[in-house]
Amino acid sequence: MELIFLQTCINGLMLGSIYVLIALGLTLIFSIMGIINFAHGEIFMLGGFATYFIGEYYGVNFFLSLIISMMIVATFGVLIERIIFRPLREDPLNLLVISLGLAIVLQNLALIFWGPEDRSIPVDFQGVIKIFGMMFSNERLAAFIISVTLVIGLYLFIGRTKAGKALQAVAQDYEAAALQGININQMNALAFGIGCALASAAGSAMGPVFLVSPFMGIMPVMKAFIVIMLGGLGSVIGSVVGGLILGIAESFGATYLGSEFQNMVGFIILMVILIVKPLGLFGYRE
Amino acid sequence: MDTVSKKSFYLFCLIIFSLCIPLFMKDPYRIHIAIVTMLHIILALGLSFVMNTAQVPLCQAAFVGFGAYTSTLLVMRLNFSFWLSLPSAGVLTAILGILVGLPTLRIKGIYFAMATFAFGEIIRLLFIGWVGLFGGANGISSIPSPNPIEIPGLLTLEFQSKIPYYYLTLMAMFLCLMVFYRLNHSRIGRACTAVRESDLLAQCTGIDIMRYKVFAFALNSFFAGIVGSIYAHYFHFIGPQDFTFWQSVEYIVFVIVGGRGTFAGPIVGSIFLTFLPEFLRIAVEFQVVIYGLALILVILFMPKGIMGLLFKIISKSSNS
Amino acid sequence: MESKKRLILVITFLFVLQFALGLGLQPRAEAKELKIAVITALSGAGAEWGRGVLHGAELAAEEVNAKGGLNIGGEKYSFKIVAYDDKYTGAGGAAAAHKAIYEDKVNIIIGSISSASVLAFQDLTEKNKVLVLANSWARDVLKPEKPYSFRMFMSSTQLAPGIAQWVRKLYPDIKTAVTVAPNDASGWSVAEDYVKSYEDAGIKVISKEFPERGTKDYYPMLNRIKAKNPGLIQDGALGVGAVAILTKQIRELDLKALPVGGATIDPDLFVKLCGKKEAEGFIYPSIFDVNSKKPIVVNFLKSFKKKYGEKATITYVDPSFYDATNLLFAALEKAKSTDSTKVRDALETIRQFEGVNGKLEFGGKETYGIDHQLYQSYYIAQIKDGRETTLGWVR
Repeated sequence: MELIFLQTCINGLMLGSIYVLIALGLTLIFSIMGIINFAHGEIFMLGGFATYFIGEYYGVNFFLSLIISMMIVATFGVLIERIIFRPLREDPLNLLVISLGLAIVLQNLALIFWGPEDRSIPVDFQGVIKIFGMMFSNERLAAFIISVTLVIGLYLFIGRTKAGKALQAVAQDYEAAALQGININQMNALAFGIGCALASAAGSAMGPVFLVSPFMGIMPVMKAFIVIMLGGLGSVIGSVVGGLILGIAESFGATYLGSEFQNMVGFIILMVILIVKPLGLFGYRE
Repeated sequence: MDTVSKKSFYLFCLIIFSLCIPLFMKDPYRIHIAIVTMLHIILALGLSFVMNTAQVPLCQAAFVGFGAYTSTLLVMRLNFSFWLSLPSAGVLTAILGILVGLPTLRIKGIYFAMATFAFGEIIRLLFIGWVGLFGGANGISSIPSPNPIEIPGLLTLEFQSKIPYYYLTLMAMFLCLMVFYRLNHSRIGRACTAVRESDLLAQCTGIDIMRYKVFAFALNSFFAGIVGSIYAHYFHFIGPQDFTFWQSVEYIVFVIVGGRGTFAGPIVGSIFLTFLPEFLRIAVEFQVVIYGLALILVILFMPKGIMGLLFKIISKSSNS
Repeated sequence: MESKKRLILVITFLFVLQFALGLGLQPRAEAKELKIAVITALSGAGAEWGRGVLHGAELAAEEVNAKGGLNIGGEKYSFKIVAYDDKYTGAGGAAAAHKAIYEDKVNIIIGSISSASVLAFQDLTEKNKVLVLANSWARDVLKPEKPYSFRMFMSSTQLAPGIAQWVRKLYPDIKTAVTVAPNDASGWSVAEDYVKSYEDAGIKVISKEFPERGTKDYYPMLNRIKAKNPGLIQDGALGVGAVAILTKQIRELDLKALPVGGATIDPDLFVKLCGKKEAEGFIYPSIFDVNSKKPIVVNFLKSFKKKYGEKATITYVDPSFYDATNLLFAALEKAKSTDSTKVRDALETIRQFEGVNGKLEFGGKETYGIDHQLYQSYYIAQIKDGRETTLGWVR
């Protein structure tokens, strides 16, 4: 019995770590730019496909492909921000519609050009580790490690580097930051680029575990919304905690209640949190 | 003629025009599109009214679904007449709206949106999960048409062809238009606009903002329930996949593309976006992509929506 | 107030313009061209199977048109396939059917694979005597009260008994089973079919799982059922990607259950997605052998690849609808008319039609009350050493 319990916890942690990665990108973009990016799931998907194609056609090692994909997708993201989002910065509802349009376009273009079928990203380190009777696939472990690495990396970047501190300033009060001479446009581009890079990494990490398809972003982005609401919009710690909570809650829900409840658990938690503490666990009022 | 009766004259023409449409438009497919468009207009109007109090709900489709299932169950399980189940669905959905609105409308902006998003999803999962009541993923099929209207000695109106449905929906839309038009131009409407502009200020002038927000929300839910009921008895089949978050977002898009803050905006947006897929029949596989592209382009070039652009053109031409 | 008046005028004008434009956008129907509607999922997650319907139908129509058309009652007809995207939903199907029947005036619909879609438009099609050649698996699609609907494809109701019997034969020690099917109309239908078939074979289904369609993480579910130690885990047509991942995860978590497929899969794709070692022993039914040497299959594959490209995926849906469309053509020829009732009658009488999937015939009265279910032989296969091995044929 405890074995199932422990396995459920570990499953939840690993699942949660992926949610964290996607949510982090989303919350970063929100705190700097004020947008909820509906197309985030499709950015995630592009990351997965990029890694697939790089690996398939150039035979590059998985981790290297992941990094290259991050760069490609981040560049793409910055272009999108410049062309589509920047003109509408002031109006969140317009941004909502545009990001929705973008999501539709990206998803269905992927469908038309790459077909609907799933693809796997083969890795060199396939296999399963068994510790104390619990099993973890190496791919999941890799995803977990990637997530942890990137979270730590982001934390260090935001806390220690000049650009990171500038981002913090913009997140807190962008008018004051502008007055201090921080280039808001550059910051927005940076935030969006990092956000997309994180989503791309999440997509690449998920590839070996859950396969790559044009539709792979639909569910994860909904989960990411729940996570950032749970943790608090704009809070990095909130996303981490929220992601882990959601992962574990879903894991327990699905294991002990039934497969149908895997998704419902998340929504119920969300509604409760929003009613009790609307800003989320770590959210703050600006 | 002074301006008021000029306006009434045009309005009168419009009404007569819409009443006569089925007479010169025999094609059932056109009528079908008209019916769907009118249902969308009702949803967009209600949504716009709620959005005027500064909240964006992402659960409109859930209300429609609730109205649809309620009406269906009342007719099929409790042998209600459609003419009773229609208003009942509206009222019951309004009650649901109040129940959901009371705790959530206190929250602002994006958080409210997410709370309603969560609620919408919970309702959808309920539709799928509670098989005994809602038929689960299979939905409910063979939903009967509305009961025939009988005026003894005069006529019997059966709901076999599309035309009776057209008039039914038309009446519902007229009701909705009247209600919201009067509200917008009344004290309540002005209060709601004040709430949207700045609720701090509104509170200072003595307006109980929660009351107006809940009222707007419940009214919207009422009409959404009505739409759901008509939907169910028109399509004869409902399933949980027709009332998802994506449909809710679609309805919001109608309002935004049409032009927020205007009365005609939601109407124009609904018409435009319901008709748009019809014109995209050239390459079916690209249809969805082009729709997405259209959304992007419309917002980029018409940030205030279609009505926003129209107002700009009109004011420019009346200035010159 | 000038602007208000202008406003009303502008709105009215837009309204009228839209309708008028729409009215003008109809091409005149060709005299000797028969339009056939294909309603299927072309976008969204359902497109994985949905496109196969269109591809199969288009290929068949193209071939017939290239030969100069079909002789129906003395006149030559060419065929135009008109596609509609139902997005795998009920509302989409209803809208598509409305468009097809009232605007494009078709009386034959091929599709859909979505049960919700078909159930949504069947009232309309039956009322208008429109022939429906569907593939969706929900039971209610075929009923005596729906004389114009056919299922052109074997559903789990037909496949399950064969699989259950073979499993019992090869693995007599297995006593318990778990079904995993998507949480929608098709999935529920499939789960019921397997429960019944396994019961008949003496195996008890101890749990029916219904994860949301598109779920790829089965760890929690597998974790839970591991304790119950089921003898086999039955896939309820989750789709080749999902079932490959499921099998992989079953092996990763060290469950001793036999993974059993519920629908035809491409064995090479399955092995690629699942991993060669993990795929070992996977049993599944197959109606289409992509490696068959039969000339009709080889020719089909050649034409398919020529039209859609070398790398185009073939699911089991493509050849099935290729056959279905050819069956339709045969019925049209036999009926010597395009009247849907006559074609329906002709379709019912076709015996032993030679298709890509083998000999096809209609039946099913005992199950559905009406002989509108397509039957064909199928075989049970198993993955051994990364390749498909045929174990035996059913019927």
